[in-house]
Amino acid sequence: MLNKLTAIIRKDTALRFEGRSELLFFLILPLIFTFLIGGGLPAAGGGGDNRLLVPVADEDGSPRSAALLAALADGDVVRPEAMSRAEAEALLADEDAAAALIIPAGFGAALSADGLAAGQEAAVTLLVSPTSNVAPAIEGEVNRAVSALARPLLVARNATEGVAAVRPFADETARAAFFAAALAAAEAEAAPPARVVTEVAAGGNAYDQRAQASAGQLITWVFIPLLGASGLFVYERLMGTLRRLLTTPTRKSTFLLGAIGSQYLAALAQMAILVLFGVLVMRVPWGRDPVALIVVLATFGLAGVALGTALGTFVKTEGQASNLSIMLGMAMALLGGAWWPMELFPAGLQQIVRVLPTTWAMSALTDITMRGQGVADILPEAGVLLAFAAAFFLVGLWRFRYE
Amino acid sequence: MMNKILTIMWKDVRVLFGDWATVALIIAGPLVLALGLGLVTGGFGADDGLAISRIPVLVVDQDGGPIATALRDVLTSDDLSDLLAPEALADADAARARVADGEAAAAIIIPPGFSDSFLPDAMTGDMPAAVAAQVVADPGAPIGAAVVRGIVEEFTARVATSVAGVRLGLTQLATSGAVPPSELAAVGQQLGEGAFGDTTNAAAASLIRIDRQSVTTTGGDDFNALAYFAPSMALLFLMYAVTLGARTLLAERREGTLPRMLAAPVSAGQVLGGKVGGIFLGGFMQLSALILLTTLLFQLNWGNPLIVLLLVVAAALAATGWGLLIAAAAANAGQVTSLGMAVTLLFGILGGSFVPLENAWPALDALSRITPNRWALDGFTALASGETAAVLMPVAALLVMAVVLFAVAALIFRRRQGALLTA
Repeated sequence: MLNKLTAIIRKDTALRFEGRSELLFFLILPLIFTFLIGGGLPAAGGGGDNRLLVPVADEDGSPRSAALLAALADGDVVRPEAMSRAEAEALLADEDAAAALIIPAGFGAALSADGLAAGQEAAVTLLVSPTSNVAPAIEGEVNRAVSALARPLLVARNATEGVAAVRPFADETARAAFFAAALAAAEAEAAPPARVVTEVAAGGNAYDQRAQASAGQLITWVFIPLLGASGLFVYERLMGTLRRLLTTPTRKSTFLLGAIGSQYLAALAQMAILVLFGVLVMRVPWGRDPVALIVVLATFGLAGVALGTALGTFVKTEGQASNLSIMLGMAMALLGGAWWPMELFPAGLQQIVRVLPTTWAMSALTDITMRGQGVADILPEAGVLLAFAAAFFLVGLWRFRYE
Repeated sequence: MMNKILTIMWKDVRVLFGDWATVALIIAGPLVLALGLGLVTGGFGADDGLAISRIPVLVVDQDGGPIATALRDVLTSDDLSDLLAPEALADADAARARVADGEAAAAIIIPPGFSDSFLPDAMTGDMPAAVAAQVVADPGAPIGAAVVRGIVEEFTARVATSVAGVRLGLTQLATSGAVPPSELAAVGQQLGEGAFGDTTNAAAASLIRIDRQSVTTTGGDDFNALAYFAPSMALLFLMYAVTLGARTLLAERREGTLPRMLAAPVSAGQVLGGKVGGIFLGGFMQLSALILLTTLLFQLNWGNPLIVLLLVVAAALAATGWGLLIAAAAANAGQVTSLGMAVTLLFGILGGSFVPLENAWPALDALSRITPNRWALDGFTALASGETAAVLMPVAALLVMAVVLFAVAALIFRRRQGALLTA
């Protein structure tokens, strides 16, 4: 039986890779997608500075607006670049930037002693692209910079208003003098100590777009060809080789095991390459718990190839198998959280997509790469993936016909 | 003559749309993916019941002081009830474990001494060492965790600023002699009461307003994610639809049906015209069907119908050019399918169909200009915002692309596939 299995696996592998174009989908495109979506390219115009470009139109030109620009630059997330409003809007429109900051004329005046006393409001405009996945990070940085700029002013204003409430000033001049002295003192103060510290649960890593892309693209690009295994059954059926097998002493289970085995082994090899690429190029911590990783990838592969087997008993032509595997693979990857974090989904949808194997696979891979979890933690996901595999195999066996 | 070309065109279109799996891929596929991407980017707004879920956050108050209580009040306030789903827990380790399991986006642990560390020593006026609140983040929920951290940081910054204001006011009063030392404690008490009355008043705590505007070409703040993802997904699968059509050129040669057509009273030009027209018509119908479906199902406004038609024709022509080029370069029908899918996916990622690649390598942006996806998407998003004039450039670019690709494909066909119409 082992000889027959080996022969079938060798034949199917040769069939699959007989054209060089298979390498496009097996290797080249998955690597390109992982690299691009994971942010592998250097940022535009940064000269090695990979922080996110944020065009800033400083229409005020005051020391306060310059201070805001400096506060924004004083971080490791964004790279502000001063330019005109038209240039900033053009960069945004061309999707060369995810957000642009406009500091309007009058910004500095509103933050002066007179402006604050008169109750003037300082405002900046943050233009964001609604489809960008990095815009929230930029918004957070703008908030931080604005808070840093406003803090001494707020302290001085609070002090002045507080004092005015309990010991009213003699006149506006006295109030202004008090505010000026308070502001000078507040600006001279050292930066306040951190009042919030962030830690990642269970010693995992902070969210990393590279880890999300590496895991998500692995699921997408491995799952589609596994579903495409359905095409193999159609091919054999149409070529009549399955019927011919009846004349040989080969059992149905041997043939099925061989056909599935070749796809499964290829998927394992593909996953190994993508994991290695993730480790070596994208610096994703795949190797934190190798046993957990092997368990997840092995069970995910089984669920995928089982679904492909079941699908193969429904489709009638190779074209149908190819089209369906692409559509189902992409849709299930997207809905399983492989392209975007699951938290972005509406609550109801988060529950519905638990019927997909991709959801459980992505959850387990996130546990390993980001949450720092081990074998014991991913066993529930692995169990569900095995259950999926069993269910799909049963459907495949039940519906399998030689003709 | 036209009848013969139209007959061949119509036959190819019937073959393309006659297979339910193909229709599922090129029509249902983009619809499902556009809907999915629209859902995860939260672009459908809150009124249709598809808004992003509330962020699950666990709160462990080990301090019990007034500032910790004020923080808990903020987290459970009506203002944040649409954003957060807080749950009080007594055990910090249990909270950490639940975050580690992905059950909550974050846990806020308020340690003992948190409230007292904001208040200066009553005798010396010195500030004690800061006791920081801990935000335990789930890396699998980066946005939720960042939002929670932002809320806690804003709250603590507001309290710290109020305390600093009190201290500074008192110091100024003392050093200027405006308040005698004997009254300082009482004045400090008054200042403190006034300042802490403001800790939940966001307006008082903010000097600089950040006016956030969604820059969308689909109408200001009423951004509908489908207006971006529907055309982007439709264009992604348009490329695949035309390669399926182009595949028939080589498939029919392999099966000998092309030479057999020549046995009928049709010229080679009519056969090729019909085949190329069929590829174009298939793409045109796929794109048009998606526009109609999204208009009917989701009330999506694509813009001026005549200009939409012009753009669809231009996009289908450019995509047909790519389909022909792939067919010309491929050795057999199988290669057309493989190369076609590869080009479809590459053009999809370059054109921003999967994730926006803003802020990336400039060469990547330049590269995206060779894709019909990029130009057509620019045109559709401009159209949806009513900027009709802005469509001219994409239409012109798509037509130029079509002409160039048709010419190159014809040259390659002449050199490599001269026997296209012969067995």
